[in-house]
Amino acid sequence: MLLAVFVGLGLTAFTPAHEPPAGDSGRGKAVYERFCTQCHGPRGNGGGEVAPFANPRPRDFRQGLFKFRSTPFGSLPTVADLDRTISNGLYGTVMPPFGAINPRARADVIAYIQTFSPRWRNEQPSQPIAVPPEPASTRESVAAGRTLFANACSACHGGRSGNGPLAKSLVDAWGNPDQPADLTRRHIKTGVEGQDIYLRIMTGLNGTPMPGFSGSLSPDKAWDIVHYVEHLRRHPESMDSIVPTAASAAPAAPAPGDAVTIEMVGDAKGYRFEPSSVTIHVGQAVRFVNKIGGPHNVTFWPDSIPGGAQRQLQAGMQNTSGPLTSPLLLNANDATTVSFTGVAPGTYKFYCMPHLALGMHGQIIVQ
Amino acid sequence: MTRPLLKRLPLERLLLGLILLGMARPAYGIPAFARKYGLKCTACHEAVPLLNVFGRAFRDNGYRLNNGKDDAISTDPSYWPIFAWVEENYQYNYARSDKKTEFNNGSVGPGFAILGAMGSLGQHISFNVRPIYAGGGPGSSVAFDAAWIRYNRLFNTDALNVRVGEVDFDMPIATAGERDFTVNDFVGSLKSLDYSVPGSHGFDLLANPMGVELSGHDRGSINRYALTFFSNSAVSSHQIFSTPSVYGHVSHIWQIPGGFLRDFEFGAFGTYATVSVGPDSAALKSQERYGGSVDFWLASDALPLHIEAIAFQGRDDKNIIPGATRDALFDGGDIQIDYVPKLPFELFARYNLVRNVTQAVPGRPGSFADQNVYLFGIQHMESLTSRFEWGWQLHYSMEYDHLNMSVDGTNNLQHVVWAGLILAF
Repeated sequence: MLLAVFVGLGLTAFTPAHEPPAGDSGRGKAVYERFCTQCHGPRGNGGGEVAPFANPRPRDFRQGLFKFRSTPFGSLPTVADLDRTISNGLYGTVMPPFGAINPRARADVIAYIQTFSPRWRNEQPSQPIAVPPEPASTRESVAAGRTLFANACSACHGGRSGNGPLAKSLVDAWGNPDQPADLTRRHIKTGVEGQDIYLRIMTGLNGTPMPGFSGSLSPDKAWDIVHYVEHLRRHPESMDSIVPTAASAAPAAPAPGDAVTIEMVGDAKGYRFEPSSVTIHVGQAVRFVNKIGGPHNVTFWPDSIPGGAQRQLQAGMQNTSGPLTSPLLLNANDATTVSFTGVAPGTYKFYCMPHLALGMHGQIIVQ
Repeated sequence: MTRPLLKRLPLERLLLGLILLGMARPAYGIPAFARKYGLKCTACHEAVPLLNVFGRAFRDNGYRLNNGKDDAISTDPSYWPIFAWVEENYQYNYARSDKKTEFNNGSVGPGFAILGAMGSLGQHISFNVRPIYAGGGPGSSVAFDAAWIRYNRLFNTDALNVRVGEVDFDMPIATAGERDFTVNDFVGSLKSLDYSVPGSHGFDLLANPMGVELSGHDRGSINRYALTFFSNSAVSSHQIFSTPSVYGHVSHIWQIPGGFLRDFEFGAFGTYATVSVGPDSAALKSQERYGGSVDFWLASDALPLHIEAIAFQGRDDKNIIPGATRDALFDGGDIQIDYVPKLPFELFARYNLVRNVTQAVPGRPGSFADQNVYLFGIQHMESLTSRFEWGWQLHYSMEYDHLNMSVDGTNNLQHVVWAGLILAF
């Protein structure tokens, strides 16, 4: 009878509200101290007591880089994105699901987390990427997804445990080794549903070498990859026949014209842009070439850009994976070009997202 | 005429104390979980050992976070699922009976020590083994405070979990063991829930009987239930299942999106327990408790003001009360306030009452054995690292028994000042 009463009450699955209530950072500080400091540290630098035992390491909130979002690569997450991560946790990591605590407490702690990075004061999250209805998973879509996976994903995710040819060289924006996900396992960190995988493909993971493919993949093709990844869980052996091509999803670089070239280098001397500072004229272009030690990319700091130039600069970038963010250049000699046509003179500061923590940044002075 | 309890010989008092100690349910948090999952104690406890909603969801999941890190040893390679809890206290007692001082002294201890193992072995198996060493000197005892094993997610659903062994009842909020340090202050403990009608077979809602529990919950433990089949008087192994009894509890929590009130919970609980009577112990007679609870969490989730009220009615069959001509009926309840003004401090206050509605034995005054218990206290419990925490608690309790439970009919008033030190590893 009690069971019947319970069932009557409703075994409702926990679903965070799409738009959580507005948070109060003052109250959020107390929530943070109760639940979060042990991992993320009292200053939000990811340096809590547990950090040495945690793999992956707890998030350092100071850069405003968040992996799991519905927004394009490089963008800040929405509040709902953060609430989803807090509520559901991240499977396979030390981040537990805090869905049991009051939605307002989660909103409060999100407001407090937003105080750690100046990005939250200077930027707004981009519009979330819509997830279209999932088409049927057919043999053809799995086969198409397999081909796309071999070309775009296997360099990192190839092999049975996420150890493609590039896997060992990957580091995140904080300089930590960043092992690609083992896609033969049932869970990815954010869930088991097709739309979870879809969003990870399209949005990428900020602060990691995983780029967002929203600029280069159509929704149908993204779903094909989702269907192949779902197939991999049931048939992990199908991964064995894939020969990683290490081909990037990034498009081929256009003819450079009179572009100035900046090489992206990671070697025994460290990670850097060579040269790290160039001076050009309005209308010129800069060609970024992955020379060694990739993957690399180039992302411009929005607050370093002369007022009003953001839109022109965004238009001058090829196949961006997020606001002012180039695609990830996976292979040697992959390149991306940024046109400075129509932009305002001034200094444009940029960095490589995977290697920001290792000091890989530079500037372009436009005269 | 029987002498008043507190007038008895010191040896009798000592023996009574030791018996009560054997029944004592110590309070504790589990620092091993903090080590395993890398969380502060305050993540699961409003104030140790009182669980918050997150801690209760963790417990409902079989002490698992469901984050893929629930194997016995996963996060911290130095973790081992064993914890230790040591408590020692000083207690000052002052008691009066009909304007005469019966008791007026203070003493250290007895405290307790627990070396327990508690946790999960992957997704489906959870366990809890808590031997407790209580007291010191010749009267010390070792007993199992709890010992059970649980199969989580039967049929791969959180709605059905099975626990077998010496299990605690799923009481409103939590059992006394997870609730407060007052359990070895016999005045300040949760007396209404283990109230025994004078002369009746003792039935204790705070005890851990042998039994089987079916329980379930949804995500976040918004809705939850527990159904326990147990043996009421299982004092030895051959009596297990000889007194079939059942206990049930359902609850639902509302999370309020705006305003001063943060969370609100309503629960209902009840038990139908049997006692064997008669020359060959073949007849089974009942003891029943039915009630409800409400909880309010106000102001802040991190620094909450938590108000809880429990009310229930008890009925004991006349056949288990010597000299009774009718069933005994009584009302019981408590209201407790816990407030965390700033971590790691907690202030708390509680009022317990018992009101006898129908006296089973003819001739007894209507208010015979009524009780009022007041408790006020402050606690400081701090994690120094995820491997060690320490705390202290100071509280004052007062109990007024209207017409003493022993049949001389005097009124008793007892005051206790209790100060304890707790170390947890």
